[in-house]
This record gives sequence, structure tokens and C-alpha cells, in this order.
Amino acid sequence: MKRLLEITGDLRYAFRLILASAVIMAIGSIYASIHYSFFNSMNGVPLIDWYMTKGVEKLSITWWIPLLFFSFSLLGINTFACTLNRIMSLVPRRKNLGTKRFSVLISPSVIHILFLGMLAGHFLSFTAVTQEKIPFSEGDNIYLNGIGDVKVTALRNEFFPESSMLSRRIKQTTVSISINDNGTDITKNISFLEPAVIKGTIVQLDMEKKKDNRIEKPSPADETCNKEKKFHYADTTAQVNPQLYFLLTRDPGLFILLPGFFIVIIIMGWYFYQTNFSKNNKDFMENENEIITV
Amino acid sequence: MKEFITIINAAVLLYAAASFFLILKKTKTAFILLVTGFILYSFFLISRGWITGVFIPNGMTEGVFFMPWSMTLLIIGLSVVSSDSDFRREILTGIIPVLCFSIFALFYPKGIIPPTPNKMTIWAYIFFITEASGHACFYLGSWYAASSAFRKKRTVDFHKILVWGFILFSVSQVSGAVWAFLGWGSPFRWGTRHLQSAVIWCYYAAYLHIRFLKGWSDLRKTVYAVAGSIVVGFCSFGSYLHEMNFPRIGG
Repeated sequence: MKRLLEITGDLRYAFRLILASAVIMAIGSIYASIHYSFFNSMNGVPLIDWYMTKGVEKLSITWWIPLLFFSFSLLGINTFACTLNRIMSLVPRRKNLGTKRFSVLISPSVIHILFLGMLAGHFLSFTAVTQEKIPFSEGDNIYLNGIGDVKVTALRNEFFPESSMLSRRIKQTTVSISINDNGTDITKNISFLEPAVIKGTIVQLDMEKKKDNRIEKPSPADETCNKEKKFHYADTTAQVNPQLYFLLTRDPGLFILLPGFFIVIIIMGWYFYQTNFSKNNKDFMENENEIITV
Repeated sequence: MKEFITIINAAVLLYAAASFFLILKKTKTAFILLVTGFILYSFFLISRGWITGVFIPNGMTEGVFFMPWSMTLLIIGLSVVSSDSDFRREILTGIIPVLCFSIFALFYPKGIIPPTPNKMTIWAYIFFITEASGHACFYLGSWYAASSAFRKKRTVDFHKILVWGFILFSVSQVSGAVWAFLGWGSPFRWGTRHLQSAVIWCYYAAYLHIRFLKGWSDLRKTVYAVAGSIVVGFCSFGSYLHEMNFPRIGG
């Protein structure tokens, strides 16, 4: 068993797998930059569904996605074995090491366990996420999946000052909604970057520009991540108006990812401080790490 | 606008003069010129925040302009804490990459990309600041690694700089994930920017494991550290060049 863990958790494999993942993502980033609209359609839909419909149709530019998942899966197995191996060699020595040194030495293992959690969180997010985009206007009564009947009671657009070069551009939009929950009316405000979480669904705003009652969209070849035109109303007339949407997201992976990110950063910062900057620990930790890892 | 351009021109000129005096081994003069250039460059960044007539932090934190500022701050900080004059001279050689990146900034469009409501949050500012500072550490770490390989002696501890870079870059990934969640409902988006950030993170995560690998000579580790700047350059300059074509306000 120990031998199997040593082979599976070999650090050389970890190094190669991390680099292989980096290379695959670098290749993917080139495809994503050339086919922006196509890869943007992956966001907010379960990855497997997307791949089985759209992805397989363009295998020449999506081949790297399963390869990336394969590489990260192997990295996950390797990390698990390597971490287990290290914990098994550290725990019996915890009394000799003392609490502080043991805490420092065990922290890379904790970071790796959290890393595995983050990989799982991302996987859950990619496979189980759903996003819906529902158009609305002020005064509308609409039904939102998972939430129920909602009335849009108020809508306020805030523009940049007229005296600035950003005049006629939307700075913020706030929407007030009223939800009937078991006979009680609840009011919620939603703005850009200030979503509301209602019954486990994240409700956000999105905006498009409408001209002559048609949504203005650039051709897929011209579309980029820059969306500033959607918020610019220099030529606002009865024919040119913003069209607002509710963006409804249900993503179980978020509950692992968001807290996980912060915990990893705190432990990582503390560990690197102890091993690289704290004079009392530096030499000892380096020697210990080498003994344990190699 | 004219004064605004003059400030960055003067700052870059001072960086060039600092490099010149460093070559002449006038370390003190080079340091004074670098600090003066840094102060002017800071004025340029602040005035860029005001370029539209209202204060928009996005103007200060754009990577092309903020990254050379972070590099200079790091060089000044390292020089101030160093007591040895030879060591200080070695640290100051970092002016050369700063000068190269500042010249690029000099020819880059000075206006700002009009911010959308989803781009004005403290999480976005933390993201841009820590990402550019992380890149600054990676470039400087590579520079000092190359320098130590060339001189065949280890002078500035490039490993520490790269570790700091990794921490700052990790903070940027976390703040970026929170920003992406608040703005678009998911912490990771399938797109060039997110994938390339992941490439840089993975590259330096692999670097942190090298010291525990058998059979890696010091030279090989150093070469890996130097190659990091190519990875960071490939991932960041691709975006910089792409964003040159975006509509801008104020220049």
C-alpha cells in the first residue's frame, strides 16, 4: 500500500502534470481567443451537455477540453496520494516536532487537501451549473424558475456626470422586485455586482442594447469581452433603449469554491512566511521539508 | 492631456538616465533618478485615474501602466533595505526591464476603456493591483535569475521574489474569482483571460515544487525561473495587444 502511494504520489509526476495542464490551457486560450463567441457559449451551461452538442461538432478546436479534464484528474489522484503519504510520515512525529513546527510542516498537506476540494468544486460547478436569462421591464409580473412570481416594482438607471467624458453611460442600475412568499410580500433590490440570493438561486442583472425593438448584437466574428457599447446611450431615443435581464444562476460548486479560495490564501501566505521569511523557522523547515518530501 | 503625456515622457526619460548612470557605476545618482522618475510616474497614474473628469481607479490599475510602477516600487524597496553597495547595484539593474516596459507603456493608448457597471468594484481593483504586482515580481525574479546565471553567482534572492509573486498572483486569482462571481455569476469563465491566468498560476505552482525534486541542478532551476518571464509575457501581452483595439476615452 505504502509503495503504491509512493509511486502514485511521486512529485515528478505532479510537476509534469501541472506543466501539462498549463500547456493544454495555453493551447485552449489561443482557440478561445480566435473563437470568442463559440467558447463564451460554454459559460453557464453544464459542460457535458455543451460538449455533447456543440463541442463534438467542432472537435478540431475543442479536443483540448477532455484532455484538460484528464490531466487534472490524474493530478488530483497524484495530489491525493502524495498528501496522504506526507501526512502518514508526519503524524507519528508530531510530539517530537512540537506544535508550531508540526503546524508549519503539515500546512502544505492542508493546502493540497483544499486544492483537491477546489478541483472538486470546479468540477461540480462545470457539470451542474445552470443559468437562465429572463428579459423584463419596469412593472412586469414574471415567473422565475425556483423563485416563483415576481413583480418588478422600480427601475433606476444612474449615469456618469454630464460634465465628464463618460456622460450618457450607465454607471449603475438598481431594480426593486417584490416576491410573494407564502402570502408575505418581500422586497429585494438588485444592482450590478450586488446580486440577491433567493431560495438558493443567485439573481443578477444583465443588459443589452435595444434598437427599434431588436437587440443589437455584434457579429460573432467581431464580438469581444469588451461590452462597453451596451451601456452607452449617447443616442438614446424612443427607438434606442437598454433591455434588462435577470440572470438566474444555480451552482452547487460555488459553496465549495468561494470559502475555499480564502482559506487556501490564508494558509498559503502563513506557510510561505514561516518557511521563507521567519528567521527561526527557515532553515529547519527547509531541511524537514526535504527529508519528508524526497 | 498634453501635460499628462509630458509626465510619462519625463518619467521614462529619467528611467533611461538612471540606466545610463548605472552603467557608469554611479549607483547613487542612478537611484536618485529612479526615485524621481517613480514619483513622476505615480503622478501620471493618478492623473490617468482622473482622465475622464471623474475619478475612475481602473485608469490607474491597467496592467500595462501599473506593472512598471510596481516593479519600480519593488526595486526601490529592495535597495532601501539592502546595506551592501554591490548588492544594491545588482538590485538596481532591475531598472533595465522597467525601462523596456515603460517604453511600451509610452506608445500604448493612454485613454481608458469606458468602464461598465460590472467593472467598478473593489474586487476588480484588488485583482488588477495584485495581478500586475504579481507579474512585476515574476519579471524581476526572472531578471535576477538571469543575472545570477550570467554572473555565475547568486546575488539577489530571486526565489523569494518569485514566492511573493506567486502569493500576490494567487490573491489576484481569488479576488478575480469573487469579482467574476459578483459580475457574471461564476468564478471561472471559459475564455482567454481566465485560461491564461491559470497557465501562469500552474507554471509557478510547478516552480514551487522544483526545490523538492531530485536531479535539478541550480542552473536548471534558474533557467526555469528565467523562462517564467516568457510565459508571463505570452499570457499578458496577448491581452495588452488585443485591448489596444478597444474603444478608449481620453486618448
